[in-house]
Amino acid sequence: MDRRQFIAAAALLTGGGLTAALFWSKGEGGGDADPLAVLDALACESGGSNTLGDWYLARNPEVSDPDLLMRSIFGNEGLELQSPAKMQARLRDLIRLDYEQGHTLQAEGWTLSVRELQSCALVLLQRRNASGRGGADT
Amino acid sequence: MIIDLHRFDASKPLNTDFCVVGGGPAGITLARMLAQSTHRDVVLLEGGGLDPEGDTQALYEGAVESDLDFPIVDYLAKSRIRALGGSSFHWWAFCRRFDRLDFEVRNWVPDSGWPITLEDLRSFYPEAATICGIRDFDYDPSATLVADPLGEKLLELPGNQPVLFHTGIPPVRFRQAYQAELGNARNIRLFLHANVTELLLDPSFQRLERVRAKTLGGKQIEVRARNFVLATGGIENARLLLNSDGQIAGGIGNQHDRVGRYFMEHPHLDLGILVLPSRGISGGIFDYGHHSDRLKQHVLATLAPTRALQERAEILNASVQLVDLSGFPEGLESPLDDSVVRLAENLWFRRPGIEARTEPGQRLFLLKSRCEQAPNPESRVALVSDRDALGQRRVKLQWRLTDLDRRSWLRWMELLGREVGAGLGGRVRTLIPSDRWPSGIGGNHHMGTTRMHRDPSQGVVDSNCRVHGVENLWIAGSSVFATSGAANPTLTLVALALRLAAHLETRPVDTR
Repeated sequence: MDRRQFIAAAALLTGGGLTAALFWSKGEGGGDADPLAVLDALACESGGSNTLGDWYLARNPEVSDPDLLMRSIFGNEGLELQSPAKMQARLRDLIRLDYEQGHTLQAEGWTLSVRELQSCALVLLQRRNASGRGGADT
Repeated sequence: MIIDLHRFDASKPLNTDFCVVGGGPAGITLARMLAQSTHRDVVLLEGGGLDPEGDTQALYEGAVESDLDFPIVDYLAKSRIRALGGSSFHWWAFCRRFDRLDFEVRNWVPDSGWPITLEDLRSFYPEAATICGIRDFDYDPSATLVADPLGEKLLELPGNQPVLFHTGIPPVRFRQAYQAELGNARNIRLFLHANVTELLLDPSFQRLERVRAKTLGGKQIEVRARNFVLATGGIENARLLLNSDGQIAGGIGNQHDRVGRYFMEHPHLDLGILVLPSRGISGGIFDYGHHSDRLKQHVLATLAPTRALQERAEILNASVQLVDLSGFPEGLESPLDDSVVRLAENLWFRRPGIEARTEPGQRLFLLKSRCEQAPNPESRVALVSDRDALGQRRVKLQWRLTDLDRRSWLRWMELLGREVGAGLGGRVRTLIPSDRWPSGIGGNHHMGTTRMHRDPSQGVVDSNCRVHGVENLWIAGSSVFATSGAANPTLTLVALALRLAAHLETRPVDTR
């Protein structure tokens, strides 16, 4: 499995599910939430994973490299996973393990698994690379 | 007998065995119980009439400072009712017993710990529930909630538990419920429009000799009693003691500057949002007014940190109501139909063009809290020079929170997020800013200003609710709470009133 396949799997896990973060990171802060605004924001396509990826990379610049992030998420087993589906399943298990073990961070108010955030960062790096190089990345 | 002081010949002082000041849930309960059980004479002095009146209500006006971004104008005048029945005029009858831990000393909560335990109140809760118009039960989530008759599955998390509030629909209004009994009782004289303005000690300064009450029209009466109970509410009890400073500087019971301090509310905040997959999770029971056939009672289910989690994380008690943002009750038209569909499609791990695991109807809840407030001597009721129409100094309320409050909110949301992520595949986001106090309101729950403590230097009343240093003056109501718990106060303050009545029944006819 190459990094591109992983990106697809990671995006599957992190992209849509965290769109809420973007809305709530816009400065609304605490106070009475407007249900309509919440729902509208959640329902929109937005770059929630970008926001969280940015958040993670800003605090961990030393891992601003896709290979480092891959190793940080999977250890050495990542390369042994043969398909996006297997990687997705494994990533899901690892994220759950993070939550069970308290391996979480507070990002933009969300309690999120460290591997979840690393996945967001990986997706973001991939997007940046693709944008910078005309889209190819293997 | 019900007497309007406006039309009473008040030329001679009244004499009685028990004088109860304040006709709210605590005062009414005390007067009824004392009259029934002792057959001795009771005078109940209520400052208002049978219904709220504007000029009487204006006696409550005062200034408020709050750490919270607090949007309520005229909080002191609007959060309580000065009329027979007191604030039961506007309550919703949310009732729940305090937890055992609420009474205990917690080393992470300064000034925590009552001189009594849950066991001291346990036998009074069932009757208190009856008085409050609800069915009482000894809460056991595993027995009563998991097997809810609607088959609704509640959140099952190791550190957080579903907690039920009983709700009265319609809520009991104490005036309507007990006016006839008070009026018909041969040994109760209930005075309306009798605003107590002064507590007067005898020459020893160790006994209360009489109280002075006035109408807004200038009529005045004095009541001499063997036993006095103040039951005027969490702010007025302190105000009355502080205003009674003609004989003792600082007011009665205030020799250690404790009266008015430790004011507590239940901060009602939007603590966070909870996103859940839809599997087996019902939001219905979290709605206000959910009727449980099994309990034969309207209930409101909330989520609360377990005792173990409070201890491990060193956080305060709290509970959150789950306000379902992603579904609407049947029969109500949703303006969000399209949005909800898009939400379901986009929210949960799905991106366009990728065949993803999705399930329809992911749930989004706003976590609306009732939080315990940490006891804080700097949170207080104090007097100002401005006076009301009866010449009483008005109140300035300084509602002050502590770092423990904020830390508890943030820490609980973080830990709830871990449990939800591990066990349910959901996510939690706190809405509490880390750099400022959030916006929020209180529950109109005024507690702690004459707190209970064995040590007179640490509290105003002893474990029997008697004012330290005054042998015949007791206090009823939530002002005696040493900590606030996360449950609405009325059920517990009525249970405390029943316990006080049982204590006063044993008082000799004449203790002098």
